[in-house]
This record gives sequence, C-alpha cells and structure tokens, in this order.
Amino acid sequence: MSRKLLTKDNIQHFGISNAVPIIFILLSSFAIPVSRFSGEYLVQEMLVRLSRDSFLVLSLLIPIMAGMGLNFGMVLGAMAGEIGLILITDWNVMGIQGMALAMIISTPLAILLGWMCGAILNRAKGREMVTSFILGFFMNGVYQLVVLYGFGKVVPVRNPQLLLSRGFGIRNVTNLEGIRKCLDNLIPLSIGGISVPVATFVVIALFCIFVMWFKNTKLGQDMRAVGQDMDVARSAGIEVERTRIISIVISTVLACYGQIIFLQNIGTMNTYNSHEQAGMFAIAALLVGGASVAKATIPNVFVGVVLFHLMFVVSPMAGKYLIGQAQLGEYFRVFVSYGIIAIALALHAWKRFKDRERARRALRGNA
Amino acid sequence: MNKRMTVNFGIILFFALLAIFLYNSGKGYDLLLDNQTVNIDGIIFEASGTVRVSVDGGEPIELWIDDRGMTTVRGKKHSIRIEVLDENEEQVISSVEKSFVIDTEKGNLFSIPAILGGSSDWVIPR
Repeated sequence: MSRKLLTKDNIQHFGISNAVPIIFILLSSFAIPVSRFSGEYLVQEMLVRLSRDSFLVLSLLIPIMAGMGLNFGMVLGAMAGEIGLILITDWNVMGIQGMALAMIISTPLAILLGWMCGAILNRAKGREMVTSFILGFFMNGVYQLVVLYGFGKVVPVRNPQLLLSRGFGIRNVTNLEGIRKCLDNLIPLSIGGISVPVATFVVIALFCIFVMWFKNTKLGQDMRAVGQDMDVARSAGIEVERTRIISIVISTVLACYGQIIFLQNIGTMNTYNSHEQAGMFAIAALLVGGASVAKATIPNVFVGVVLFHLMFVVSPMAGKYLIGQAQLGEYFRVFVSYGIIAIALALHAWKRFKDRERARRALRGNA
Repeated sequence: MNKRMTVNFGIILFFALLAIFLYNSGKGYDLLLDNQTVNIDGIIFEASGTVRVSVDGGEPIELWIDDRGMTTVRGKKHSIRIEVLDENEEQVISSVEKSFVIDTEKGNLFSIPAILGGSSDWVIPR
C-alpha cells in the first residue's frame, strides 16, 4: 500500500515538476502534423532560433542561482545593447568588428544599469520579479526619452538615414544591414541543405562553459548560498547585498550581448520596442524548458527555446489549416508567452506547497 | 596607485584600444567607381570601353562607358583591379591593379579612366 502511494507520489511530483514542458510536447505533437511543415524546414528554423535566442535565455540563469527569480530587468541590458547598435550604425562600422564594437560600447552602460537594478532589488527583497518587471517599464521610458530627444541633440548623430526628419531622434526602424548575420555566417557550414550558424553556437557553448565554471567559483558558491538562505549566508560572512548586485550586473551585461546577437541575426531593429519582447520571450522560453523561479539549468534553456519556438513556428500554419485563419496562431503566440509565465508562477507556488507536504510526510514515515 | 587600480586601468585601456582598432578596421566606406571621361589638372582621360572592376577581390562590377557603380568596403587599406574588356565584352584586353588607402578628405569617387591612364590623382571629390 505504502509502495503504491510512493509511486503515485513520485509520478505526481514528476508531473508537477515538468508540467509545462509536458504540455508543450503534447501541443507540439498535435500541431506539427497539422501545420504540414517539412522536417527539414523545422530543423532549419529551430537551429536559427536556437542560435538567435539561447544567449538571451542563458543570461537569466545567474540571478536564479542567486535566488532573485526571473530577471525581468534583463530588458535594461537589451536597451544598452540597442544603444550600442544605434551608435555603430551611425558610424557605419560593419561586420564582426561592428558587432564587437557595439558590445564594448554598451558594456559600461549595461554595468551601470545592472548595478542600479541590483541596488533597487536589494531594497525589494522577496519581490524581485515584480520590481524588476516595473523597473523595465520605467527604464523603457528613460530609453525612449534619450533615443527620441537625446540622439541628434545631445549625442551627435550624423547619418541622416537614422535621424527623424526634424533633425533629432532616431527613426522607428534601424537598419542593421552592416552587421546582419555577421556572426552567424562567420564560419559557413551547410549540412544537407541546412545551414548551421557555427560561430554563434561556439559563442553559446563558451557561455555555457562560463556558467558551469562560474558555479564552482567562490562567487558562484556565494550566490548559491545567498539563493538558498540569505540570513544563513550573511551569518557565514557572505556579503549578501554585494553578491546579489553582482549577479544582476552579470545578467544585465550578458542580456546586452544576447540582444546584440539576437539583432545581428534579425538584421533590423525596432528602435523603440525590440527590447520589450526580449525579456518576456526569454523568460517564457526558459519556463517552457522546465525551469522554475527557483531552479534553472542549461538543458532547460535549450529544451525551452526549441519547444517554445516550435510552437511559434507551427501555430500560425496549424491555425490556418485547422480553422482557415493564420491569425489564430498569432493570437496563440501572445497567449502562450504570457500564459506560460502565469502557469509557471502558479505551478511554482503549488510545487512549493506540495514539496513541503512531501517533506512533512517523509519525516513522519509510515505512521 | 594600488594593484587593483592598476589592473582596472589596464583593462579599460585594453578595451579602449580594442574599440579604436575595431572602429578603424570595421568602418565602412562607399566608393563610387566612375567610368566617364575626366579632366584632371588639364589632362583629359578618355573612357575607352567597358571595364570590369573588382575591389579586394570581391564580386566584379561591369561598367560601360559613362557608367558609374558603387561598392562598400570595410577598413582603410584596399586594392582595386580593373580589367578592360574587348568590344564584345568577353575577352580581357588589359588589366591594372592598384593599392590604395582611403582618405575621406580626398574624396570617394574613383576615376577608372584616370587609373588606366596612369594618373596619380585618380581619387577625386564628388
């Protein structure tokens, strides 16, 4: 009887822990045949999207390790990256050099924004996610003010194709033709008609190695300790506030690089709202991969990007063939990205409750 | 100045120098390739026929007489190769290869007849 209960309990625990990926696998297995896409097309799309999004999603891992939840403040890093991209477009610096220069220019800005975000989050312990979410909105306003009024007036911009006709402010769309796919096509490789962005994957692999190495450093261990219990960490002599700020600074800088890698793949930048979607989609993808607010691993990133974007690709066509309207799929995308975050947060709370119950039962034993 | 400050200063200096290097090597310039008769310092260089122009070994641009093309290059040091084609535009009659360093103050219009005519001032302002 007790063994049966234990098995049932294990299955329930597994189901709760992996509810989101299971839902997505089921949805995908239904939507893929309906969409009528070829396997080759889907593999190509997934490779492109993995190379495009993985870096952004990976940037979320370190704050989770430090117990700060999902860093909605990553949009601050994305904004810093976009400012770097606007500047290199104005200076007409092209190719991989342009991309690297954009990263160098935007790094100090990302550090500053990350430090500011970390300092604010230290004053909102326990409410980091909602605070960083609102901070993103606030900084979006500041970004728009700077880009719409500062560029061309305070920050010199000479390229007339970038400026609005009034002489200051950047146009809605920034053409990144000069750096388009410069990293993706750096090492060209095609296997069976499917092009593989080798250089981008090398960068992503290096980042994964960095994350694994970082976890074992003194700072990484400090972050894990802070993530588990701030009071205990403080008693052990760890500078909790400083450690938390560093985790957000690292995440913001990496999000800045992630946004640059993302936009070099796209080749065009929506000046005023490219960054808005960056945080939401990266977080949704991570959660779809089976991560939670308190725990995320590298495999969660890749599983999440594949599953999330698989739905993105197949849902419009599935919607079209199912009820004759591709628009349904578009609605589905938005619904999925917001809905999945809500489900993951609710599941996180439920899982925490169930875990406590499990722990209590384990302590009581068979009695 | 303690060790930490020296290291920080060194890192900042390194990235500043790297940024300057990246700017110089990655800056793009639009070059206008002009196959029109031109008068430079009183000497007239006649456009002789159709030419095929390639910058840094890139994709060649074919220019007829009185034609003008544009190419974008990255960095300052480049080479240009001009092949003069016969009347049928099939066989290469002669070819010239030159190296150049971009000087934005000098201009960005490259006169093909002036290069073929052996002039030293073949970069002219627009």
